[in-house]
Amino acid sequence: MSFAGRAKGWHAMNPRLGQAPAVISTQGLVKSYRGVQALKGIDLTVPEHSIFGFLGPNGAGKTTAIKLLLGLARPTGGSATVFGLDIAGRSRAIRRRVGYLAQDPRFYDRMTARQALRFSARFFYTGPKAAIERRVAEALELVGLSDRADRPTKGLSGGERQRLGIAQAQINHPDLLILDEPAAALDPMGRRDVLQVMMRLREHTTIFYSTHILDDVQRVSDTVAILNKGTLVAQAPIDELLSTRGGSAAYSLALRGDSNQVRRRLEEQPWVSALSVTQANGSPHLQVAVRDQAAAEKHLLRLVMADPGVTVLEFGRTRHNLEDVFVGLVEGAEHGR
Amino acid sequence: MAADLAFQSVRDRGWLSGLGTLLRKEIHGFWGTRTCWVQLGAWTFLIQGLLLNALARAHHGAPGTEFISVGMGTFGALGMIVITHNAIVGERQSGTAAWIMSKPVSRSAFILAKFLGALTGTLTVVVAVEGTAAYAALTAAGHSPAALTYLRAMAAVAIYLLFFAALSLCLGTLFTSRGPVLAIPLLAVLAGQLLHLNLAGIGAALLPAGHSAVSVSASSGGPAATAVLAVSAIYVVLIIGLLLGAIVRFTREEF
Repeated sequence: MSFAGRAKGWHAMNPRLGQAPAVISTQGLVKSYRGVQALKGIDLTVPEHSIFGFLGPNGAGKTTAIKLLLGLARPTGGSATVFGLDIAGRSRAIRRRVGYLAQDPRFYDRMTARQALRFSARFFYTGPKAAIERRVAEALELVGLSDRADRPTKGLSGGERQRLGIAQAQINHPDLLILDEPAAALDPMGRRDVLQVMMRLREHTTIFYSTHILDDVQRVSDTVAILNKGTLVAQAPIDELLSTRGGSAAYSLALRGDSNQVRRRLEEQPWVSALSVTQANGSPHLQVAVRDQAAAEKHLLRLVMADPGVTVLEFGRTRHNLEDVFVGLVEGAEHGR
Repeated sequence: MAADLAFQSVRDRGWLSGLGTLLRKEIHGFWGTRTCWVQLGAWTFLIQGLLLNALARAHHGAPGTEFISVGMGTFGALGMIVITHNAIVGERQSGTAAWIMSKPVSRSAFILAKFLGALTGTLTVVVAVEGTAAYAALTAAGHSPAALTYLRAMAAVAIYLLFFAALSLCLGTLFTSRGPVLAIPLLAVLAGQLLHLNLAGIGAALLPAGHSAVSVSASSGGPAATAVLAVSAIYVVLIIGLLLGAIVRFTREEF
């Protein structure tokens, strides 16, 4: 089964997800603009307390999907729920429990950072004033803007505005934080800070964020979905995604001894899809790609160890680089059209 | 929700959700900044200047009512249009409308906050502050009009100005650029003035300029009072219609 195929049935297949209730769930969500489909029926499931990376190249439809979830745009087909509430009819109730950072956060120029946070907080809390002020101060502290708190927002740098955006997004202690490209406009230090803030917030909230910065995803996400041209091409826990490239798992073995016989026996197995051998420090290293992961886990190591001519020095699932997986899936989906 | 128990959560108020916070922002944006001083200065210069001029020329009898028809009516309408034309379009263009709409705010509350902001800001300065100051000046000069008649005239002016506020807000939801939102109400004022000169009867009274003129008549009392009431009632209906139109259109807006 390909990852594109897995995207649909993932919820049922994934035991980790099965345990956590879905915060976001979409079924065939479609959005068209003047006849052009920006989203082509996506089925997305975001488990509670996950840091869910929503990946895709520019123009893939990530921001469109986010806007639909928030009620900032209306779907033209399919359905979706957030906290079990329908996005079409219960949008305001959803937004009460959500914090949102736009791709390019905007504030009223005249407001200071503190006033912008106070203003945001007032949509959720009527008081007491001291508690709101404390919350505003906490949010400023969280994103490192305490020393800029009383500057007008128009005087803030791009990175500072982004951090203020994160602060206002979580001012209401949201159950779900939706961040649209939270680190796109930041320098490496700013990116690191934002990722640290996300890691801190995950204890209390589910984080759903879109990005095209793959390094960030690999560092903080536990689950990911890849969107390309409005179609979901993959959705899986990141460990699974990195260890099963293109829908097939791969294993690596470092051996000592003559590997020729092992190689011949493996090539005869119906569950092996590809095999390559390289030499490293005089030892053969086998890369075994498999069609059937369950069969491989049951027989692979046993088959190799049954050969008295070799000793297994290392064995494990091959972990791919996310960039390779991403490019492979996106290009694979395009070639498959 | 993981919210601290010490907080008092905002209750969902349906189509008014978020109105209080948005209106506080609008009021603070006017009265809490130098905007109010700038407007107070400008309107005082215009309206009281016209009144002083009328008083200076009124050697015998009551002074003219140019300060109502021109100062409060025509200039007031033009000022209201200039001030409110960017209220919706500006926020849509800058992205702040999308920011607000990502909060638990109803679309209707956003429109109503803008309208009530105009009411509590510019309208208050033009009609309540300047109107009161003008009444005091007239009284001091020995030309005190009947309080009820004067109040009726001020109410008519207020409705006249609110009509243009509602028109600008409605147009702001229909267009994405400022040009037409500014131009259409300005043309309505100018065309109204021209047509008013060439029309008679109820047709003339129903024009924006006609309404302004009727409010002037009201300040002198007499039979025009009934006309003021009738025309004002029609304008109130128009204002409500424009606001409903703005809300319906804005509810369909995608960000």
